[in-house]
Amino acid sequence: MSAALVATAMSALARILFVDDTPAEWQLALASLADGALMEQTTVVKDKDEALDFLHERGSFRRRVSGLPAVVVLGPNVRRPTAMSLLKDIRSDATLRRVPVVMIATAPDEETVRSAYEQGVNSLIRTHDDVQIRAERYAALALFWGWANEPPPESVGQPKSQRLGQ
Amino acid sequence: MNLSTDILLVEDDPGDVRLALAVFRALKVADRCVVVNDGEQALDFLHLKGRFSKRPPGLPRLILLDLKMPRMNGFEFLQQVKADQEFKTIPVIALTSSREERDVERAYDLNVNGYVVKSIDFSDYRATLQALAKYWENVNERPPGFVEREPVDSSKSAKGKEHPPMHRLGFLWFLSPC
Repeated sequence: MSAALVATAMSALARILFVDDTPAEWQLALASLADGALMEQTTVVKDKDEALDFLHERGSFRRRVSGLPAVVVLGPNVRRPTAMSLLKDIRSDATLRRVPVVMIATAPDEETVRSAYEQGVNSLIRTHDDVQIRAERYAALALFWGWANEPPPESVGQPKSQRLGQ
Repeated sequence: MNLSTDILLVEDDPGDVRLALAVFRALKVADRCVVVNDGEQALDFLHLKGRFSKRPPGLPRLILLDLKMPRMNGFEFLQQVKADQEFKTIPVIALTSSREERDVERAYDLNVNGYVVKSIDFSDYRATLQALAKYWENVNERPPGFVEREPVDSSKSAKGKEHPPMHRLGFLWFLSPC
């Protein structure tokens, strides 16, 4: 992909909700795209309760711009039972059930992968010890889910086709 | 070892097939891609039926699915795959020219993993395919049932023979390692 097209794609990113309580992790995620577009389009929350507050526009998020994110990313430091519980809550809620959810897991075994997909995760990523590789994975994640993928209609912002003026 | 197919591309438009395969080859992210032309053929592939009865067992790492096809369309195929205990964990990405809200909604309601619109702008569509392939081939965790392939030399097969060029068998194409 050309640099110009990457820049166009980055400037057209849709909103991402990143759930993780470890600053170093979400700072890495936000820093993975050099032009800062990801930072502008990403909301970071630290746990399940904050994530649900954001999604339902309540608590400290009651005045936020309405609409659902294009993707919810469950970071590697979210405990697995908590991640699965949040996933289950999203999939069982009529207003949230279509929101794409990506889970980042540390050393997931086959049963974890199977269980996550059966519970309705859209994608599962294995985290990596190498910071550079993790950053590359965050960049690829943002590019696909924030730009290439057409989010459900209830997501905030316009579909990709309209964001790019087609 | 039985080796799984990386990508099952379910697409009836020859032009769209050619473009997708060109991108995959350029990226060297798909050692092997199988193309079928409708949902019935795709189910035959998954179930090792019909002309796929002798293929190596194993599930694809990713299914790219056109939605508007003859015989069995993408929605019917998606519904069957996601209701099947054996196949429901295979990531399925809708790859379609439809950006109609009802189609997007219906696909997500049927548990599609992602929804990508074929852009009318060639460079944009190519970039979209690149983003898709890089993410789902290199970043997403392989689903259960996928059998990892041994690394291969770029010009030699495991037996030391030259890889053949892409074969076309009727509407079935195999993408050999790039």
